[in-house]
Amino acid sequence: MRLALPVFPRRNRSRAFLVWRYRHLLVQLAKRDLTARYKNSVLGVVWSLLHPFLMMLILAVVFSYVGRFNVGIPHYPAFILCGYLPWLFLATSLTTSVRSVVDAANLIHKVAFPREVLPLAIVLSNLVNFLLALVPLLGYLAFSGIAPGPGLFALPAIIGCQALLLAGLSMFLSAANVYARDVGVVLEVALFALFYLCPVFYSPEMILDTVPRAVAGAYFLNPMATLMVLYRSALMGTATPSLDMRIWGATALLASSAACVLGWWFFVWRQRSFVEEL
Amino acid sequence: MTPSVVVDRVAKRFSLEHHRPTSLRERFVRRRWRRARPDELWALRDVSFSVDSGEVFGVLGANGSGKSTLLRLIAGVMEPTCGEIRTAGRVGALLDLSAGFHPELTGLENIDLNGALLGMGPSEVSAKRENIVAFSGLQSFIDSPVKYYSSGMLMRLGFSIAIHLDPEVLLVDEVLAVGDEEFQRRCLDRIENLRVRGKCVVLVTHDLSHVRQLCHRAIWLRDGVIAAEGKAESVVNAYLAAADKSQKVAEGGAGTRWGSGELEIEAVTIAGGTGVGSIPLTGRPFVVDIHYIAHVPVERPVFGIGIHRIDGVHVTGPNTSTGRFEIPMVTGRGVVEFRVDRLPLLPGSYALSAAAYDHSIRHPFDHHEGMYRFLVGKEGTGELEGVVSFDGRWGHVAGTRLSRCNLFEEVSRE
Repeated sequence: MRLALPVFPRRNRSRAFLVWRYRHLLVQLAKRDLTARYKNSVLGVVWSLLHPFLMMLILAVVFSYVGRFNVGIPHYPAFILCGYLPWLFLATSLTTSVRSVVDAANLIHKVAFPREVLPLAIVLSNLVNFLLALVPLLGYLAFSGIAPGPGLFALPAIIGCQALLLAGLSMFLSAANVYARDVGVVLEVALFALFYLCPVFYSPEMILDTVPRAVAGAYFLNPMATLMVLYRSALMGTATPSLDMRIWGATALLASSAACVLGWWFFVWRQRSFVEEL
Repeated sequence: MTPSVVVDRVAKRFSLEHHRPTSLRERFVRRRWRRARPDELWALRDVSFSVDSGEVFGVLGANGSGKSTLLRLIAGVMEPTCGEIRTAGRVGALLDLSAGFHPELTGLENIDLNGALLGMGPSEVSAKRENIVAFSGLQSFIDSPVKYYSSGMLMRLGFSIAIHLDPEVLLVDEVLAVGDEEFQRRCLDRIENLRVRGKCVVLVTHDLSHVRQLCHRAIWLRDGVIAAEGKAESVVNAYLAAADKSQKVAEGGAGTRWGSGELEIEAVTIAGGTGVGSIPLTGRPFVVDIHYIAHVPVERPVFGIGIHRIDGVHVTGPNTSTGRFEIPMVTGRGVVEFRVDRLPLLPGSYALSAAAYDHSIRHPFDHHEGMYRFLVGKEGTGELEGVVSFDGRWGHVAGTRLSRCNLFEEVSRE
């Protein structure tokens, strides 16, 4: 027996329930994104593993021989990789999802479906990519003799927290991009700045040691910075003694949840005019 | 009977900005300096109707009358500016779905993707996958990426998915105008099948014969307002009568004229059974006079006429060459007459073309395409279906087999 409800309820119905009913579409779109990405390449899915390793090599060489950021950091290549993989997850999710609604203009004009599925599917496909890349990373860590920290059990929660953050940001950005196409350009610049505001190739101690306490606090309000520290403590067992990770972890979770709720709210508010704006 | 679709005092407003701002600079410059209200367009105003289950409902109207807006509102793609639309159960739209295809994925993978887009679950898609492939007739291509498909193949696949959705309410927008005859037939069968099973179908089309054949009731939208509502037949007639008054040929505008001009058609007159100016009637005499003027002597010219029904169906196109009627030479003024003793055309609006060509029918002297309009009145016949009346007679013999040879069997044996 099918529910006697319209497929696309017009108002006052739970948006989450609607997205849940379209979960199959979410999976299919993510699958489409993944298969299409590697369909015509020789190495195929191997690229999702090879790409971060090659980037890590470049970063490790540049920042240890040019910038000397490696001083005081043991296992510098592994250190970079543990920060760069979450970074890549963020950067590709956002740069791809920002266009997801605009690119699907044709579909939006023709078919009724919860539109937030479009950016969410991009985040989902990048999450799968990220998880795939974690497998050789764990192998590499084991091979290098680096023991994971006790936080390894919290790894799913850390990943979930980042996924929540990216879901919120991608919904916000894709809806904002319909309103003004500048968003894509602004995002590129913002990501460039954010790369240096996150401890990808330097350790957060450098920030904590050199700037006043209040500024350091502001630095860790960026949930991505906290998440990278958390990823490293889980994967490599690196401790940051001057930080209480439980407090900052809770802050990151709070910030990510807030980003998700606000991004979703913004998306649902804007999506009413998508058909006319596109 | 419970209505499947209720459209309750629905209106839809669009803002008509000629250039939509898509960047922040444009937006703020506009906000700051030109605060003038953008022009508005009410695509629909105060539209109300309801469709019962098991009913095929037609929506008629010229281009830009709000038909597609209405369909998109029912489909839930847009929200009405005011009023309310209630639908019982799943709404499916029979649209060109090729927009949702990913070129790198195979036909089968695209079926999964599009099925999900229409709200089917994984089990539903896998249950219907074979039927969808069979319906599309693309079995041998289904494992190739759709980027190798022709546009016709893409469209067939898209329709096949949409038509297998099994909706409570099926919306059909002009799709019957595309695709080959056989595929159209299958789509129509499927629509009939849905109707029989108590689903309701809303059909938007230019093809008036589809409305006559398939629909029970219909509305006619004119500039976003319901101009007529009721039985399909009466709505079609009202639409045809108005289209006739508006002096426009259905799709091609007000007619076109071309030619080199040595021989010019000055006027064309139509006479019905009872003299010039009377309305032609089915089964009565019908005369077309072409009044020409030849500016230079022309040898063996060919005169012809063409008749199109108002929705574009080409009914006939006789000329003096196919009629084995040779005019050796024309100079100055004259009249060419085309006479039919018993007009086979059924009541309705028609467009008449007239032309004068050289003897090879390659070089046009003067061609008036669709420039004349006429109406065939209802008084001549009781027949309504189709384009022409064969003027045949029915017979009946009870309790025996006719020994007449059966042409159909002969054909199938060969």
